[in-house]
Order: sequence, then structure tokens, then C-alpha cells
Amino acid sequence: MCSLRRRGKIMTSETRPERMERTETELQVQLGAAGPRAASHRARRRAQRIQLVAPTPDAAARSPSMAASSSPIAPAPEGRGDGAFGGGHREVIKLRKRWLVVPALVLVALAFMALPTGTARADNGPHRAGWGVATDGCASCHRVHRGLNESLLRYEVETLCMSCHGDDVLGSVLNVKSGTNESTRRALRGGGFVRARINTADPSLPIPRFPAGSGTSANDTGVSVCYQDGIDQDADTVADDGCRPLIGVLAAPGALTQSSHSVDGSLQTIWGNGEIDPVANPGLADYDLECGKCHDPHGTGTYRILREVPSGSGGGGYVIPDTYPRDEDAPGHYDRTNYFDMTFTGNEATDNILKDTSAWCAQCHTRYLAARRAALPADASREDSGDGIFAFRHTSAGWGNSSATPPVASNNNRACITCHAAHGSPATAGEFSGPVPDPGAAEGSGIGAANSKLLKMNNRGMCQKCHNK
Amino acid sequence: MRKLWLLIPGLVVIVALAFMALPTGTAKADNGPHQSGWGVTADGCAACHRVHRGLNEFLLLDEVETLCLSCHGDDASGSVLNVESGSNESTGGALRGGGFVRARINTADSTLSISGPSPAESGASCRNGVDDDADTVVDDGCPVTIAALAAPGALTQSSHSVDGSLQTIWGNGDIDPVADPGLADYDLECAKCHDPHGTGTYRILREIPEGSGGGGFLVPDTYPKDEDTAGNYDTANYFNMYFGANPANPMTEPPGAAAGESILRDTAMWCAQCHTRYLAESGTTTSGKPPAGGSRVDSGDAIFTFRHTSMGYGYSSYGGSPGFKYNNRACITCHAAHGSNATAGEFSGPVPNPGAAEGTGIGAANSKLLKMNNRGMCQKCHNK
Repeated sequence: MCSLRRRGKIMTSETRPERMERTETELQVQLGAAGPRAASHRARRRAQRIQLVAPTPDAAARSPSMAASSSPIAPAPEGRGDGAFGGGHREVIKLRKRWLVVPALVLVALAFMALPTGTARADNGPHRAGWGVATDGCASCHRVHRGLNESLLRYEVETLCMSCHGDDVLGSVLNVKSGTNESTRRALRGGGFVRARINTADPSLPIPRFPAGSGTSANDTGVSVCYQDGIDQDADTVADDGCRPLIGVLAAPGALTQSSHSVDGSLQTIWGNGEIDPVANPGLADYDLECGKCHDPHGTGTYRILREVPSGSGGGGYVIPDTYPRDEDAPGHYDRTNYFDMTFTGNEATDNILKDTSAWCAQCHTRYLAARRAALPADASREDSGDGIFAFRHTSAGWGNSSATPPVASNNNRACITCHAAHGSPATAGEFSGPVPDPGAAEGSGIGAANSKLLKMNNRGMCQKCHNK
Repeated sequence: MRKLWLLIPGLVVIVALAFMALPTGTAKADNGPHQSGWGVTADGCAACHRVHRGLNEFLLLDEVETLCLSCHGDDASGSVLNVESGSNESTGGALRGGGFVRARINTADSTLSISGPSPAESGASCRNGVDDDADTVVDDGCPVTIAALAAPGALTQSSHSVDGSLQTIWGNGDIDPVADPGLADYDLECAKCHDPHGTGTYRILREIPEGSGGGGFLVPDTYPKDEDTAGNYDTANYFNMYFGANPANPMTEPPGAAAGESILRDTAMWCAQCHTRYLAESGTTTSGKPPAGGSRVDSGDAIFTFRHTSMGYGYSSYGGSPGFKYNNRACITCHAAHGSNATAGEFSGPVPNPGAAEGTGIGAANSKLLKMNNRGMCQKCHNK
């Protein structure tokens, strides 16, 4: 008999009958040492365990159920070196562990059940700020001595991100490829890079309050939010007057994305990047946009783990706090049931996700940012900024000043994400909007149907959601 | 292959029928992109606007006049209504409002009113040089005309300025005993009068011309659009005295005149939102009308004191039955809305603008959008 070490265990080459005989001998010794009663108990239990492997007719007679469920593992066939006893020993061990494992699993399941459901957080999974002294997450993405790129990554950024946030992957429920939360099955706020679930043909339009010009005419529902329901609740003969229009959600899988932020690292132009310039300057050319330029995968504690400064943007820095409510459809929530996000509150001093995201977006798209009656023309909407291209701009800052003297600053509903989806949109452009050129390009040079500029409605439907001409 | 043989003819038939069903030869104010109710996925916005890089406060991609003329100008394919040359490029007719660069108004039209015994000659008997009714007067009672010139017409001499340069709205404002010519430094553009988004009104005229301070007047787009009728864009006779069929003419006031009954009266009411103190209702103090509203009475204004009837409506004893009636004396009776090729003469050329010194008029181009050279418009009625 020789001994072999396999996985830390000493294994012998004794035959199974030899092992059975040895165990019987050991059992007899143990029974004698422990005393008659204990020995009897232990012997009985030990005998039972042996019989689970090879029940004897006597044991079966004593315990028919034991006989019936004696072993999930059949005795080893005759001639096999491992023998029934050796296999039986392991079965005993396995059975004991199983009785321990099962309750443990139950405890784990209970622990998971106790976790809040349907809540995906920006800092989550491996994206948690404060990785600690013995963190291990680095190795999931980096190879210190054999990286694929200057960031010492294992793969290209987009590939890495999509390995968790793409289609048919397990790492995250936030599928940014298809614009879907795989857990709640709801649509993601930012749309999607390959498919998106924005109803870009939503038929609702604003309905003026009736009678026209009446300051006392109320919204139909009498509450601050009104989603058009076709009912004349205030009994003024006009249904849904004063109600906000919607941009509804498509059922999964949505529609093919027509326009999106390019995240494959190919060279793009950041339109409007840079200072006001009387000489025509479309923006920052040859910028390799990737997911990691905007989002910090190491975790930041900020809204959507957005970097304070998008890498390479030249921005001055803007931190969007991750403090917005995460109730369903609230600003902090990932999912939407209505893409016409008109959330804004209070005055300039209060938090406003529309204002915050506009200030952040403007770190790249600098000259698009414009506030109503801002102090400087460079910052003001509908005033000549002095720029050679971005001369007059629509309000986009999510706040503005009133015409009173002195002016009163207040949040408003005209911001970047009011009209545009951050990741991608299935909206198409039409006869007039399709040929609209990129800034500084020749008229008519737009790319056609895909020229929707991440707008949430086809053609210029976004204009109609407010202006309704 | 078999399916193609079925499909292609089917498509041809369907498309052809669809085109045949479209109305032909009818230009409507609300047309092309100028139709109110653009719908939920409108695309026309992008034809004129650039949201983040507009050229002006309206976020337009170009100046207003340039944009409008890109469809309504010479050699433009967007619309048949060529307001630069005053022509309908589809029918070949002359546009009622004249033109900004050329106009097709026969400003030397020779017809004058001819008085004679009843009955008056009419129809084919008119202006033929024959005493058809044998009353010793040739062509008596025949309508007076201002015919249209053949294209391309003649150079416009006077027009409304629509390039956004600063102008004065003559007569704008309330009656004022202190001399006040009007509203200065007004940047008139096409879109100050016309709403390119569509309004459903006559000529997509805004209810209130922007910046005019007007109280609002809707000219309904309900006038017939038959050739030479009020709603039609073209005309063969610029001295079109159409003022509708008023079933209760003369009327008693109240209820008085109503919109949609006389294009002359409606347009006069609309024009007066800018040229406020030019509006004068026919009648005298004996009609009970206040002097400020009446023609040929002292309005109390330092400049626009006595005014010719211009409302196309008022008190009249004409025809032996005194009362309030529609009449033929209105703004567009004498003036072309866009521009005229009429010239001013020795006496009319130096006529000054309101409030300016005598003799400061600009000469031959001082025709004030009148439809006849010199003071030929006076002669069309008064025939002195």
C-alpha cells in the first residue's frame, strides 16, 4: 500500500474490502472506549452510515425508510478499486455537509430577499468609490504588465463595459445597448446605443388652458402632474387642458437606435466645445469618445458615476450629487415611463436635475449652454453671443431670469435632457431636418434619416411638445 | 416576377389617383409649410430654424427676408407666389398686392368713369367704343379698371420695406393734438405681418402685426378664391371694387359691420392696427359718429386732422336711403399692399412724409404704393 497526496488528502491504495475491515476494527475500538451507552449510540449511527452505502437485510428490516433512501450513490460495482466503502465514506461526508449546506443556502437566500429590489445604483457592482486596502477589483479590468492600451486595460473600453452592460450578459441589469433594465424590464432614461425604447411618435401635444388667457383655469387633474387621460376633470368642456404632453415608452425590444453618442473610441468632434469665438469654430475635433471619458468605472459617488470633468473636455468641473430620489420615475431612478422629463423645482438655489445635467453636458458642449436673460451675452439665450456659429441659442440651462427688476432667477424646463437622450435615440429625421448640417458644415449636408441628433421625437416633434404650431 | 407584374401597375394607378385627387390651381394662404396644426412630428421647423445656432433671436437660419424669398422670390421653386415680381408662376396672373421688385400694375390705365343716362352699358358692351344702349353716350356707366401688365411688369417704385431696416409706421398711435408722425425705428419684416407657422386667416395675416400696438383684428380666410374674387391671389383688374354681398345693405347699427362680409372693410381694419390714424369711417357728425372716427371731420390730431374715407364702411345717404353701409373706399382700393410701379409727378413727388417739411418728398419714387401714376387714383372716382 502506498500513499498518494491529492489535493491535500492522503489517499491509500488499499482495496475497499481492506478498508471496510479496518473501519470495522476501528469502530469496535471506539465503541469500547466510549462506554456502553455512547458506544451503542455511536455504533448505531455509524452502522447506519455504513448501511447507507451497503444496507444489510437486518438494517433494512430495522428501518425500512433508511433502506429505501439508503444511498443516492449506488454501491460500487464489484471489482472497482475504490470500493463501496471508500465511496460510502465520501457519501457520508457529503451527506453531512449537505445537511449543513442546505440551511446555509437558505440563510443566504433570505439575505438576498432582504435586499431592496428594482433599485440599481450608480455606485454598484465593481463601481464603488473607496475600494479599500486589499481591493481585488482592479484585476477584473487591468493587466499591469500587459495591458491593451495606455490605461493598461485587458480589452477596449467599450468591450469591457459591454461585458456587463450589454445584451445577454450577467454582470449588470442596466443594459445600455438595448436601453432596458433587465431586472425591472423598464426602459432606461438615457435610451440605448443599439436599441432604444423611446416612443418617438408619441401623439400627445400640449392643450391650452380653457378659456384662453384665463388665469384661474386649472389643470384637469388639479394636481401638479397631469398625464393626459382624455377626461375633462375640471368640467370646462376641454379635456386635458393644461396637461403636459408625454413621450411614452416602447415595449421591449424597442427600435433601432438612429443617433447616439459614439463610444467606440473613434475620432469624433465635440460640437460647440470651447470659448465663444467670432471666428467660426465648430468644436473640438479628433476626440476619441469612450464610456470611460464620461463615467468613472472606479466609482465616484456622483450621479451616474459621472466624472467631475469629462476626460479631455477642458471643462471646469461640475459635480452632480447622487442625492436625487430614486423612486420610480424620479430623477435619480434609472428607468422611465415618460421620456418627456419636465422635472424641475423651486428657484435657482434648489436642486434641479435638469439644471445639473445641463451644466455637466456643457463641459463638452460648451457653447450650447444658454440661460434666459443671463447677465452676459455669451451665457444668454436669444441674444447674440458673439460666436461665429453658435450666435443665438435656445434656452438650455434649465434655469433663467425673469423680466422683473431686479430679475428673479428660477429653474425652468428647458434643458439638454428635456429634448435629448444621453446615450441614443431611435428618432428619425425627415425631409427638412435630415439635411440639417453639423455646425459649420454646408447647408444640406446632413446625413438624412439618422440625423436626429439624439432627439426624443421624430423630425422636430420635440419643438411641438411645447410650441405646438 | 408574377407579383411584380401586379404590383407595378397597381402602384402607378394608386399614385396617379392620389395626385388627381389633389386640388389644382388653387393657392391657399395656409399652404406648403404655412399650415396651422403642424402635428406631433412636424418637420417644417427645420426648414427655417436652428435651435442652437440661430442667426437671430428667433433662432432662424437666415434673415427673415432671405428666408421668405428663398421660396417666394425670383427663380425659387418653393412657391408659385413670386412676391418679388408680383406674379403667380403657376397661372401667369398678376398678384393682387403688387411686388417688391417688379409689379404688374398698369399705372397708366386709361379708363375713367363715364356718366350718362340710364341704363348703363355693361358686360361685353363696355369699353368697346360703341353706344350700345343708344343713349347718345358711348360706354356710359362702364366699370373703371386698372388692368394688369404682362409679365415681367415694371420696376417697383414704392413698397413696404421688409429688409428689417428701421422705418416709421406713419400714423401709428392715438389721436394726438401734439404733432406725432407715427412710430419710429420700426424694423418691418415679412413675418411682422404674416405668420409663417400658419394662422388659418386671410393671407396668414397675424391677428396683430408684431410691435404695432394694435388691438387685434382677424381677417377670416373665408372669401371665395375664384378668379378675381377677393380671396384669389391674382387679379386682372387692380381697381377691384369687390366689397361682398351684404344682405342687409344699408344696415342699421347695431349690429353694424362684421368680419367676413367686405374684404375692403376687413383689410382696412387690419391695416389700421399699424396706420391707426389713417382709418376714417365715412359720415359726418350728423351721423352720431365721434369726430375721431369720422372722415372729413376734425379728428383733433395735429397732423391727421381731416381724413378721406378709408374704412370701406360708414354712414351714407347714397342711393336715397341713408344708413350705415359698406362702401368702396378702403386702403386696398387705392394702394398695393406689397409694392407698386406707379411714379409720382411734379406735384406729388415733393409731397413730404407726415410731419416733415413741405417739398421734402423723394420725387418720382414717392408714389406711396398707389396704383396709378401721379394722382390717377383720384381720377378713377372723381374724374375732374
